[in-house]
Amino acid sequence: LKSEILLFALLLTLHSSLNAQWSIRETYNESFRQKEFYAILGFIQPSPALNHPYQNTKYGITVGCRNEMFWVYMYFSTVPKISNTVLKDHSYSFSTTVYFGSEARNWQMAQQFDTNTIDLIKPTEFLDYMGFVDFITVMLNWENNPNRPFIIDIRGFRVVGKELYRRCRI
Amino acid sequence: MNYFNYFIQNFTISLLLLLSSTNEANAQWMYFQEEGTNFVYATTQPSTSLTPMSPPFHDTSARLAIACLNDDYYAYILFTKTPSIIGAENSEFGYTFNTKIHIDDTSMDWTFTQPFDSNQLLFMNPTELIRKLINTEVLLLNINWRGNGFAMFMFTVDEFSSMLFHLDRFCNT
Repeated sequence: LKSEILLFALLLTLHSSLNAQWSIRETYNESFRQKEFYAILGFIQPSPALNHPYQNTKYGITVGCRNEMFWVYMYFSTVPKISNTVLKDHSYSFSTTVYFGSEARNWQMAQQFDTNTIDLIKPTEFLDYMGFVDFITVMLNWENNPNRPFIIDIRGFRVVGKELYRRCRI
Repeated sequence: MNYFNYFIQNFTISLLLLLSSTNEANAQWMYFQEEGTNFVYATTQPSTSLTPMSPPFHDTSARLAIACLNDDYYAYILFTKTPSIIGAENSEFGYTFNTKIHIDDTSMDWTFTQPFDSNQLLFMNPTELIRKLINTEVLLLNINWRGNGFAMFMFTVDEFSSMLFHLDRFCNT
């Protein structure tokens, strides 16, 4: 019975991560007078859910580009509170473990004040690593939720990513 | 129309003054020092626009920040999203524009610079602004935000001089 429950839980997690779909959005940056494109995945329910008061928090990932410049950030339905950060350029800066498949790497992240997004520093390098795996796992030291995995199914990005690169003229 | 706007703004200011005077807990400065530097700053609590903004800017919030680095003072607004401002002109460091600000009941024009692709609006002549903010309660800012008309941000600047005193102490070490 125990293994059945485990299997069910596994299927449920897979199902919830499969449910999240990639979509492409186009905006116009008035300051730069250029189009911007975003590939957005979300929302994903953390499994297990975060502790109170963050139990309803969901997350997603966004890849944005404008004229051959790329950026990647995770976004959350509530403003994340990350422990053990240092202040840099009006942002909470920290490094964390990111698993590309099963390969662990240390990654530098930054969260601007009051925002519900966390930027991944060195986005082009991140996108390169992303191209070789099906899942990435970002470990976050969220206040009262130490060392939580945020699993992202990026299989759908192969198709969406190509479209994004095409539109940003790469 | 202008008179109406004027009335609404003044009405809002008086209402907010009334509210802020009854709720002292809101007037709290937050202090920050950046890692490995002597760059220190104090910010107000984040506040959203008094006029509703349309997506994707609907949840934009702002803080007024007063910063000190090597005895030089700076004043700027930190937004959670990069503002897109109508009437801003290209200058050497970014986009420059004039807009109306209110300090308590006095309104005046102020020049701002937004560094390219930045979510900060820098007050030009920051020392003059800081001098004007001492012993006042409210700073109100009108920004001609593309797609949103004039967005109006209000900051409570109670205890400004004691904040400056704290900042000065950290800045001079």
